[in-house]
Amino acid sequence: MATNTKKYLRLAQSLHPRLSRFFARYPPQAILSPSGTTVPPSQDSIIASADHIPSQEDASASPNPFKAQKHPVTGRWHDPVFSLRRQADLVKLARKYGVEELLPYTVKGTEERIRKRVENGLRVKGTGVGQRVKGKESERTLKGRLEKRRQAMLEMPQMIQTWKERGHGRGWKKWPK
Amino acid sequence: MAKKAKSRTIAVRLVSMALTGYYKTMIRPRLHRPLSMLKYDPVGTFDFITSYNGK
Repeated sequence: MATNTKKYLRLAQSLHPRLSRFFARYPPQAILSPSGTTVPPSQDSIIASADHIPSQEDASASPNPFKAQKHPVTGRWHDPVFSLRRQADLVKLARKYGVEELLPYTVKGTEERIRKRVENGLRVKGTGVGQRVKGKESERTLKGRLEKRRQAMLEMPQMIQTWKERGHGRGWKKWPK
Repeated sequence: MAKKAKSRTIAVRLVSMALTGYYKTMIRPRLHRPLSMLKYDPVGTFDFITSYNGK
């Protein structure tokens, strides 16, 4: 336990002040859960369960500061504590220090970004996984036409030979459409 | 009123047999047999036989 605490302390000291401030304000679950007995939020949760007040329960669970929250009493939506721009800044900083997995869920996270990229591709229609575009008819038939042309080219010497033998077009049957 | 007389010649299109879509437009007498020539196709870069496409 003590070694863990020391480890976390050293980590916190090595972090960027902005990150350490964030983690002080919103301690990550990964750090909280093993030392749950000493952390006051567990007591809060006991009180909350006794009182049956949902707002206190939410407070004990420390809502994700990267998400908009619905006020349990008034039902109004409150903006996230951190704007999308600041979320992205924090994610970038955390990635630099290798502690991104300690941040709460955010749409700016690397995993989420990769998932979106796979789903949507480059935001150009048809570049995502399993996506395709219909295309113009000329684009759809391009391959077949080129193949036909290639075949016709290969048969051309033979055709010219026949054409010459048949009197340069007299008695020619294969007129194009 | 009498119908207008047909012209003696017609414009025809010589279409590439290499299926490149290349063509040349020529004029031939209406009563002439279909045109058929060996010409150069710049698309396919190959000699080709063209044939008349009766208008």
